[in-house]
Order: sequence, then structure tokens, then C-alpha cells
Amino acid sequence: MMNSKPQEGLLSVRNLSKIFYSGIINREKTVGAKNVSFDLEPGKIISLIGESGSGKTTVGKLILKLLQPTEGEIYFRGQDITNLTSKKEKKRYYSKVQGVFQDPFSSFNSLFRVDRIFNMIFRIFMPEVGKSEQEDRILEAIREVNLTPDLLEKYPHQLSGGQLQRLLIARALLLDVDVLIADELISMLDASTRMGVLNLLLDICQEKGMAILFITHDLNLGYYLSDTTLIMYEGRLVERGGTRKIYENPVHPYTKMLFESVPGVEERWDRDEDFVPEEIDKIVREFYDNHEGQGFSEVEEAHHVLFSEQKID
Amino acid sequence: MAEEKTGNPEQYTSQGILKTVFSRLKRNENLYLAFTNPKVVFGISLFSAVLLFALLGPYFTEYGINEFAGIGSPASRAAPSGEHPFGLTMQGYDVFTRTVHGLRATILVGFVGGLIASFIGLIIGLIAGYRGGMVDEFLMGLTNVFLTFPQLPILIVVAAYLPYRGIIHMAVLVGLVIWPWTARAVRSQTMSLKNEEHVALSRISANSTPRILIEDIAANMFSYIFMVFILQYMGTIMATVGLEFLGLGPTRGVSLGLVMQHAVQSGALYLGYWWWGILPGLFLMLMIFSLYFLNTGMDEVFNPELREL
Amino acid sequence: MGKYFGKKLIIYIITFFIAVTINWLAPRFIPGDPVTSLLAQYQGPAAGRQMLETRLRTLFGLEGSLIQQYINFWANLLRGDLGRSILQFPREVSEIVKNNIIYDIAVLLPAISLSWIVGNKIGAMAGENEKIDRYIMPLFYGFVSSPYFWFAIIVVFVFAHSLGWFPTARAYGAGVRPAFTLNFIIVFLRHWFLPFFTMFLVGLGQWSIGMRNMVIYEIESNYANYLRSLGARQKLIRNYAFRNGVLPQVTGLAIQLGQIVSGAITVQVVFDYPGLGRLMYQAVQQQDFFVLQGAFLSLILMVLAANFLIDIIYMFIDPRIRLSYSEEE
Repeated sequence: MMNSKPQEGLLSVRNLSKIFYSGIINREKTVGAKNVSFDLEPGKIISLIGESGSGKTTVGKLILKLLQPTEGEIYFRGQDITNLTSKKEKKRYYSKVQGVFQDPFSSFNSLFRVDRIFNMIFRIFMPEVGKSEQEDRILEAIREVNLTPDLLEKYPHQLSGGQLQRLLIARALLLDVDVLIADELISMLDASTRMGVLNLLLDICQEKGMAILFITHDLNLGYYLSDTTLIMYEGRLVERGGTRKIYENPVHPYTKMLFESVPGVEERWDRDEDFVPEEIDKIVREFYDNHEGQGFSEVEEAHHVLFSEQKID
Repeated sequence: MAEEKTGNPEQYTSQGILKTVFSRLKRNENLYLAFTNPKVVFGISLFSAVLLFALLGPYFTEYGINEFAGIGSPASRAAPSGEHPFGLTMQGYDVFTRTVHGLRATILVGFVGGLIASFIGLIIGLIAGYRGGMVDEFLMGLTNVFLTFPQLPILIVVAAYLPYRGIIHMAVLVGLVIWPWTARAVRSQTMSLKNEEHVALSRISANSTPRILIEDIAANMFSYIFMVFILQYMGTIMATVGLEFLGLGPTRGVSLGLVMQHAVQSGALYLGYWWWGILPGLFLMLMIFSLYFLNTGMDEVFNPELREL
Repeated sequence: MGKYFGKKLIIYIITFFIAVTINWLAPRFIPGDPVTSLLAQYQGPAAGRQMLETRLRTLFGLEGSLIQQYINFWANLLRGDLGRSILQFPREVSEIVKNNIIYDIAVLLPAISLSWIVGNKIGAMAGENEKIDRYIMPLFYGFVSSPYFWFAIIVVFVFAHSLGWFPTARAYGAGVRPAFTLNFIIVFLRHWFLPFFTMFLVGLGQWSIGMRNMVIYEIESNYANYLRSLGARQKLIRNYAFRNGVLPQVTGLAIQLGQIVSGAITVQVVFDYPGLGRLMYQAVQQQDFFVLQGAFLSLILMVLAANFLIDIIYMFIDPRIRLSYSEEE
């Protein structure tokens, strides 16, 4: 799954780190992400799983260039796009890499009709396209996400979360992107609408050959959707590999804890005496100490685990 | 019909945006609340009354501002009467005339100055809030410096050396000194707005920064900007009147502060010419009073916590 | 903690620097220079004019290059030399300023502190008590909407002219000489009262309104509701609300100092009461530029010092500053 040469992949992330500094005089450091590496491949969905504060959203923002990494590189189709300066280059990148965020209502400027997001796309990326052609393409995109054209005249507050998320996906389809970053795409949707949107994601992934980074805190979703899973904890990538392999054989203590703490729908409350989630930090530290020097290494084919922290600071 | 489906590009010009904001406001429940809020109603009514007074006043008097209208002393003779509703100054000028014209000049300076201050503050606040980092630190440092200055002394020191003080000069001068407050307010709003996801969406659409600032950020704090402008207007007027009172108002014509300065200079206080000293200022006070109510009322509308239940 | 002060100090120093520069720059804006306009009034023989011009140029610091003048200005300033009054030549400006600043402090210090303390109390009461809020607040809004000098004019008419309780102007009567006699003190206080009263009332209105808003906001806040649900007495909640509401009032005080001082200037003019404000006014009227400069700089220093004092006080009452300084603005 990991190409040794990032130049050959669709979108690759190598040793990506982001440190946040606060204040000018007394610079406090917060680690957003540290040393994250993985590849995105066409037609594959990768889940990035972690709790809040794990850095998963940070990684998404870094790839979408909403944040600038403090270290590391991002490659898109072989090109190092970590430091894009020109407007043209950025436009080219965004015409192929897009994102959908968690809060559908916040993603729309409530002052405008929802079709603004489409018009923005044409205005900025494809100004040469004529009016009627624009309409056709928009209608096509709408249809692909199973929505009706009458929604286009509405304002965001008149639509449901699910509809808004579909519109945002349609926007990405309009651009015909190669990579889609879906950050907690359905966490704010009702349970009944979720499956619809998820299945939509699966469909377009297959049909369009899109690479999707599905960021979530929900293990079940990860299993349902993806071929490859990434587990993040405290900004570090702690486990990476085929979804099946990780779910059947979790190695890193944090991954194990994640699996332990998911209540199944059929199960009833059953206390596991050995498992104390508050101590996970201590457990992880112990784990790292016990495996000092092993760094990020292979456990089995296509399954890597972070065994110890590398001393970079 | 086909047009409707995809919207029209005109929507995204600046007039288009203004139109959208207003049509949105029309449908907005907040506007309804605003117009039924007693404070807002009171504020608007009183302010309009004063404004009307300033606009129409000159038509109700036959005297010029520097025209001799009658014998101004002793005080008993100069007191308000049917013929001179606001009485006479010691020099024999009609106080009503001077008040009405002075009010106009003062309002004009206040309005233009307020616009300038709001504009400067808006731009600085938007940029500082949106960019963050060193730009923000620098701009905020600058803002803090200006905030620490006592306004009137600075205005005095600069105005004292101006050879000619026209209305526009005054407005610009005052505007350049009192913008910091707006900058700060706008900046904090910007900082909270910029984390909203539609801003991120605009960014990954490679939307230009000025457009993001206008469409996504400023447009979403429209009511806030309006309230800020009102406060700036009040500040400008206070500063202007202060300058006028110290003899540093517009060189030509009459202004409210000037009328009152004359009163004090002429010893009106000892001699009991209360109409001369008090009445001109009364209108200013009423105007500011009304704006306070308007602002407080609007604050209640947009921040429900402050509403009295 | 040191960073907290460090940052503030830098701002104050920069502010002072800019103020001094503006002060220095302003006279150079007028077309021609102050010397020329002063010389225009000279009526004597040509030779005398030449001497006068040179003398004036030296006095004004208008000789040498611009940079030179600027440096000289600073050099003199740091030595405490604010130049000499043109009108009362050769009286030193610093002496004039010293004489006046006493009156400023005499009026402003009590007025500001008392109005702040009492205002906060009243505001807190108004935040809770509907009746007070309904009847007293509009009155205070009226106070706050009034230009300081207009309010002063009203005060004069009511208390000095109509009721005759207090004199209308000046710090003490014409024939009286300042001394530490009881007699003088009484006279002084009688003259002092109205200016003080004016500043006090307007400030009172201001702080009451501010505190009232703060208290209302705090009383509705989460922690207050929580305490209430725990059965805490209203008095306890009021206490907390008050203490939290006071914080922004302290910062508000620092911010408002500029306004208050500005207002004081005009009030001094109304009462013909000595102080830096009236000094600046007279200096403008009489075109006594050095006095204007000196008064202005002293005023700025006073305001900056007061700001700094408030920062110190604030540090003691806001535990967040002490525990960890983080720029949240």
C-alpha cells in the first residue's frame, strides 16, 4: 500500500508534521500532527480514525492546504505541492483535490442560495464554460447525488443536513476531482440519512475511481467503507494497514483500546475489569518504552505499527 | 425558469451582494424583532426627530446666523420668546438659527468622520483577524497605541496647526483618530467567523481573499458593522463638538460647539443666559441619547441574552 | 507575569514615542513655520527682526536639519526641558505645567475613583433590581450622552447661578492667595466641588451602565444557573456575578481614561478652572506653542502612567493573568 516512491502515487504524504505555536513571547507548542505518512490510491477509500485531538482533522486540513506543514511533504501526481505559491498552481491543485466538512450548515454561507457553491466553481475554475453548459453540468451532478433540481433555488436553512452534504459532494463531482477529503462527513447527520450518504461515497469512489480519505472517529464506519485504515493518537500515526488485518489483529495499545471501547448494538453493558480507558496514556508510554528504538515498523504484510517515538523535537 | 435554477452571476457583484443581504434581511425574523423592540423604536424616532429638526429648522427662521436679530442684553430681554424661541445671544444673534445651522455642520462632520473611521477600522480589523500571525500582532499593536491616546488632546495638537479647517478636514482628522475601537471589534468578530466552514470552502475553491473577506466574513456581520458604525458616529460627534467648543471647529460657518463656546466666553454663565448655553447642546445630547437606545435595543435583538424577559 | 508587563510597557513606550513625534511634527505642517507667523506680528526695525528671528529659531529648535531638530527635541525632553512660554517669556513651561497638574489630579483622581466605585455598585443593583433599572438607567444614559462641557454648563447654571451654592469659576477667588490655611482650604473646596461633581456624575452614569450590562450577562451565565440549581443563595451568586463583572470594568477604565481626560479639558474651560486642559486651551488661543506642547506631553504621560497603574491593579484581581499569560485577544 505504501509506495516507496511518492512520485508514483496519486497523493502521498510523507513525514507530515504540524506544530501549533501560541503567543509571540511565550511560545507554547501544541503538536497537531507528527510524522504522518501514507498514500492515497485511485478508487480506494482510506479511513483515518482517531478521537478528537488526535490530529486527524489537522491532517485533512494539511492536505487541503488550509494549513501549512511545519515539516514533511505532500506529493500530488508526483509533484511536490507542499509549498504552492502561485494562484494558478493552487487552482490546479484544488481542481483535482477537494474536501467536504463536518457541519453542512456551517459549510454554506447562509446569506446566499445553495447554488452559489456551484457558480463559484465555474467562475473560478471554468470561466470559459457557457451558461447553458453550466446548467447542464450542474443538473448532471445533482442527479448523481440523487437530488432534484428544485433544491438549487433554496437557501441552506431550508434544506436538511443530508441534502446539504450531498450538494457538497456534487460540487466535488462537478470538478471531477481525483481526491476527496471527507472530514467527519456524516457525524452531524441523523442515523437514517447517514447510510444514504455513505453509500453515495462508495458509489462515486467506484464509478469515478476517486481516492477518498474518510476521516472519522467511528470504527464501524471505517470498517464498512475502507480498504485501508489509519489510526491516529496524539498527532501520531500509530497503526496503518489493510482494514481487515487491523481489525482482526490490532497491535498498538491504543488501537486495542479503541476496539474495546466500541459498544456493539447487540451487546449489553459488560464491564471489562482489565480495561481502564483513562490510563491509556500511561499504557501507551509503557508500550513505547518497552519497544524502544523500533520506530514505525512492519508487523505483517501491509500492516505497520508505531512501536516507539523517534526522538525528534 | 432555466435561469432560476442556476442563479445569475450578477448575484455576486457587490450590488448583487447588497441586494441579497437586504432581501435576506427582509425575510429575517430579527428585523421584525428589531422594529418591535421598544428601545429601537424609541431610538429611531428620537433620532429622526433631531435630524428633521436640523434639516428643516433653517426654513423656520428668517435670520441669518450672523445677522443682528435684536438687542441681546440684559438677559431678561434676550430670554426665549415667541419671536425668538431659543432666545438671543448677548451679541444679539438668534440662538435658534445658530443652533439649527450648527447642528447641521456638526452632524455632517460626525457622519463623514464616522464613515471614515468605520471604513478604516473595518479594513484593519478584517485583515488583522483573518491573517493572524505577525500581521495581526502588528496591526493590533498599532491599534492599541491609538487606543491609548487620549483623543481630544491629539486632535487639539494637530488641529491647532491647521491653517484652515473645513468640514471635510475635520471629518478626516477625527476619523483618523477614533477608528481603533472599530478595528478591535471587527477583528474579534472576524476571528470567530473565519473558523466557519464556509470560509474553508471558499478557500479550497481558490476564492480570492478580498472576496472571502467581503462575502463570507463582512457580509455575515452586517448587523454588527451597523451597530459599530452607530457607535463610531457617536464618538465622532462627541470629539467634533469638543473641538468646536475649544475653538478648533470648522473655520467658517457656525457649529454647535462654537455657539456654546461663545456662550461661555461671553460670561453667559454668570449672567444667566441659560438658553444660550444649554439649548444648543440639548439637541446633541438627545441625538446621542437616541442612538444609545437604538444600539442597546439592537444589541438585545441580536444577542438574546440581554433581552429583558 | 513579566511578559504581561513587558508587552504593556512596550505599547506605552511606543505610544509616548508616537505622541512626542506627532507633537514635534505638527507645527511643521503649517505652511510657512511658526516663526514666520509670529514674526508677521513684529512691528519693529529690521535689524531687531533679524535678531528676533534667529532667537526664535533657536527657541523653536528650527535650526539645523530636520533630524538634528528631532534629536535635540528628544534631548531636551529627557532633561525635563519643555521649553519656555512665548507669552510669559522667560518662564519655563515645565514650571507652568507643574503648577497646573496639581489641579488636574485634585479633580480627576477623586472623581474617577469615586464614580467608578459608586457606579459599579449602582450598576450591580440595577442589574438585579427592575425598579432601579427602569428609573435610574435612563437618567444615566442621559448623563452619558451629554458632552462633558454641556453637562458642566448645566451644573453651573443650576448650582452656581440659580441656587448660588457654589461659585461659578476658577480655583479660588481673585484676591485670595494659596496657603495652607483653613480659610483657603474652604475656598478651594467650594471652587473645586462643581468641576469634581460634573466629572463624577458623568462617570457615574458610564460605570453604572457598564456594570449593569455585565451583571445581567453574568447572572444569566452557565455557572450562575448551575449555582442556582445547587441551591446557592442569591447573595452568593450576586457576589460572583459582581466579581466577574468587575474585571471588564477595570479594563474599561483604562480604555476610557482617554475619553475622561478629554472631557476634563472642556470642563476646565467651562469653569475656567486651572489644569492641563485649560492650559492647552489658552495655549491654542494665545498661540503659545511651547506651552501647548508641554501640556500635551504631560497629559500623555499622565494618561500612560494611569494606564500602567490600572494594569498593575488588574493583574492582582484577575487570577488568569497571574497563572498563565496567554494572549487571548
